[in-house]
Amino acid sequence: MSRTMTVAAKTESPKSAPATANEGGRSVLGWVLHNVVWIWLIALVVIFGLFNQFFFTVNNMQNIMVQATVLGMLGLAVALPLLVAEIDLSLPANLGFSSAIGAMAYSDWGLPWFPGMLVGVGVATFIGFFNGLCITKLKMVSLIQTLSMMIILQGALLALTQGRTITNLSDGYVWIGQATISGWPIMPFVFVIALVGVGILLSNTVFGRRVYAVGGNPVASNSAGIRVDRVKILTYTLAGFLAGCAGFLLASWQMAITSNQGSSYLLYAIAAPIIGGVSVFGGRGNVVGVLGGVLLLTIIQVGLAIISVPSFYVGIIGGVMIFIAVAIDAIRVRYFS
Amino acid sequence: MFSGGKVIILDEPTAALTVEDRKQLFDFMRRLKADGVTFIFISHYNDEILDICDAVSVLRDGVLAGGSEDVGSLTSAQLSELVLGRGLVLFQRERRSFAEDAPAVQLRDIVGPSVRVPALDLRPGEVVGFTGLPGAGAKELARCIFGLTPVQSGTIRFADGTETQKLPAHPRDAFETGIAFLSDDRRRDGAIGQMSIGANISLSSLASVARSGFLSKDAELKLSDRYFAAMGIKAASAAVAVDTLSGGNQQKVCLGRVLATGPRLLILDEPTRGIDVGVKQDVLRIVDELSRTGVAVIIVSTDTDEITRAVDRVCIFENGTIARELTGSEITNERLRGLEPG
Repeated sequence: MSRTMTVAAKTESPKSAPATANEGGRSVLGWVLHNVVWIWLIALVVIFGLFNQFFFTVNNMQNIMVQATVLGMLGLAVALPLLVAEIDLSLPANLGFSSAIGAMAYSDWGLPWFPGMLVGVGVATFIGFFNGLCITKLKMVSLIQTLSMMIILQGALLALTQGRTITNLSDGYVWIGQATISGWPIMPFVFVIALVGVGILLSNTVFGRRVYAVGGNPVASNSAGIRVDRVKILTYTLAGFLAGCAGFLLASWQMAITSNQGSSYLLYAIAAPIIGGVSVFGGRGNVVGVLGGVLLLTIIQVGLAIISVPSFYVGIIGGVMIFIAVAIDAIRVRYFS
Repeated sequence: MFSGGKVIILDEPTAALTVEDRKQLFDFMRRLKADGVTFIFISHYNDEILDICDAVSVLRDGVLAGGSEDVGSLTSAQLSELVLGRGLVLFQRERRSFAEDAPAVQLRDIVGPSVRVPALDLRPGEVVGFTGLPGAGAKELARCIFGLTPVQSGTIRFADGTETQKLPAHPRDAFETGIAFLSDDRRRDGAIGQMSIGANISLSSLASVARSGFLSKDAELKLSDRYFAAMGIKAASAAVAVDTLSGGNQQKVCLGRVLATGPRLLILDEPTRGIDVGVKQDVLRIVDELSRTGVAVIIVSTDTDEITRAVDRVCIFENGTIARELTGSEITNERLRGLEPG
């Protein structure tokens, strides 16, 4: 037997010394890819600041924070279905439609502004719940189902407003969009509260753990005793609620609801969480990333305006940003996970 | 199948084959071999290598660990030693008869898609093997009991005074009744790859480590560390992501997850398929130890060697029902493969 049987003398694992330098390089690249949003963010602040000193003023910081609020609420909403490996394209349209319902409950049905606002947020929450039902119980494809819901809601808003802009909002309704405490607008605090709330929900609760599990592997989650449909419906419902709040804040801030309110947010609201590291494949991402994505997009928009880039170029730069973000997400999933 | 190659590479070709199909495949290979065709046959089944191959190369951790030009001179144990890099003690359960014991689990009137089982009793601490050809009902019954496949009828009753209840409608209900299940499909239905080992272990028992919906990090860490150690998972810590682990260690994570729920009835579907022979012994040993604490265990397997080593009783399935049962010394490889009349 000893004649025919050979046993390799070397028994240690092959991945030892020669690989370490390479590993170091990889880990640096991995770190950069994971923190690319914050690196870009700092670089852009410096660049915009160098072009125009006004960028560093308190006034401009407040402007950025206010602008980031609506996009931030919407970005959080979009992130939730993404985490369970689904998508909801109807959220920006839901924002516009539900805020119009809320405003009309006040102006046409004679409700006080606060119950009216609650009706609007309630409608938004119900639309989210309904989307969740369609996707889980009817097994509709979320991309197409929410796309059709988006078109329905945009059409409904147009029908509701008859193409006019709603401006007869009560003083109470517009208060939160205008109020300041010693010069600082209070609207961003709502975003901070939502950010912290969703953050705690995702990382410290049973529900949050289930969200990540379902996004990571729905079949295995089901076998592990998670009611996958219920988790998905809840994320859609919560996303609808956040979109409803965003709708109230936007109307309150602008003191008006146009006949296409919210639709301009669609691309940015989807791009922000993805740029911030929420994977379109589900199960990856957190609220800090969403915040980074929201701030990055807001700073680009505000910065390009301040350094007087002609508006013709703002669109193409935004589009390139989204493209790069999705590409980075793909590279990270492909090589660093 | 054959398009005229000079060298044919077969990668685990028998994984989905019945015993009869495997015999046909090997006969076909021998005919082509006689015509001068070379085969590279990749397998982790020792008996296949010893049966069909002339020479063998053993790879371990990506390096050539050894080999032989003359497979005929090797024994299965020597081959396992090369695969593992150490001596291997094959696990063998000490079988005993449970016929006199009162049943711990009584299953009655189960009718589901391609399954019809009027009655099945399991005793406390008994390990029962389910085997049969694919589609004969072994796997199907296991999935019905756990609530993965909806049934038309069927009840389960545990001996500890609880009432007869319907089979669970969802795995969540199953875990709450004390039934745990490990799927055979590790790729699609195994661990959650991007989550940590610890998060996977606690995933089916989150309610026990949470207070009013909020996770208690300490309680979760205690639970996951306990099963991380008990399963002997090879990783730096329980914080490591599962998709960096080998298949065998991923299987241990999943086993840890279902054991952490504290089941009274544990169902394992092909628990050692596709994992290396060393980890296989670990898994069978863990199941053996668990059965000594009084848990009833069902092992669904088409691996006759595993069945003979791990169980006290075998249910052989045909046409969706239990056709025969073997106990004690009746359980042999030959009889299970149908080479000897049962």
